[in-house]
Amino acid sequence: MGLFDKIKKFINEYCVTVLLEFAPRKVRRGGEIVVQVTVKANEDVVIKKIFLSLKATEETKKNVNLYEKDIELETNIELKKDETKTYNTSLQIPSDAIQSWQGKHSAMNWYLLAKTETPGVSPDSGWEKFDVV
Amino acid sequence: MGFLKKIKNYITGGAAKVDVVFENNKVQSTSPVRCFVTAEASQNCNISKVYVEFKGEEMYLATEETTDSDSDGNMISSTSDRKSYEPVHYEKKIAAKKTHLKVGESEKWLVSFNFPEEVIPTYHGKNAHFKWLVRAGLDMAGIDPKSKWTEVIVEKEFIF
Repeated sequence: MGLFDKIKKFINEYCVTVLLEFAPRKVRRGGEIVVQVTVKANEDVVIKKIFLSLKATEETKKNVNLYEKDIELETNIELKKDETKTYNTSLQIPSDAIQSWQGKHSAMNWYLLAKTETPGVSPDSGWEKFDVV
Repeated sequence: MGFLKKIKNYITGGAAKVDVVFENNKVQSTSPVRCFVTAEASQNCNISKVYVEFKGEEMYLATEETTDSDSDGNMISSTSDRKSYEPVHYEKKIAAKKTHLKVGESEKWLVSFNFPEEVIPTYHGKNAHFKWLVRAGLDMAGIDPKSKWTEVIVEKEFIF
């Protein structure tokens, strides 16, 4: 693969695919979420960090995060092309967490994300919404 | 009572002190809100109606665009954040009709409200809030004596 192809691949295609699965999607304050993160290498890759991000965002014209937390799963790992690594963990929602809420013009939503830190783009699972009640 | 005091009460609504007291300050959305309206007269009051208002109100941060012109006549537009208030529910009930309170006399009335089917629970955030509020007033000559808007906390039970 030439340098140009490598750069093109670097920009256009993620070197890893990150899959996030968790349950339940509706959890009480102080409750637990069981999480599974699957990272699949689309090429030989060195990953600096794999982590979960948890956030509570108040959504108006001016979004503001009322809670943010990163949970590290693993650092400095090497995966060969097509190699898959799975992480099983659980997260506890704080007992004093603000509840999910939906108004007519504003909302308070909880989100979870699985993310990697790799050279160039950092692939992630995309933010997944869940309810804290 | 002096004539001036009566005039003052007429234009300020100070003829009686009106308050709203909830049976429970926190309620489930499936239960009614029950509150007592209390009134204590500081002058003789001929009250045609005792009314109670109940509302759900959302406050949220919105962006407002304003256009102005400078000294050269050029149009300048700018945006700013402002708090917007939107009533989501409003209801008014009559607790009593044609009643009279003498100076120093007090009275109380019990009123209850049910929430609408699609109830939005209470929320106190940073740039938004949703509040359920109750206010009572005495309909009489001059400015009506009124209570302040008083908040009741509404929780919604989630089904798993």
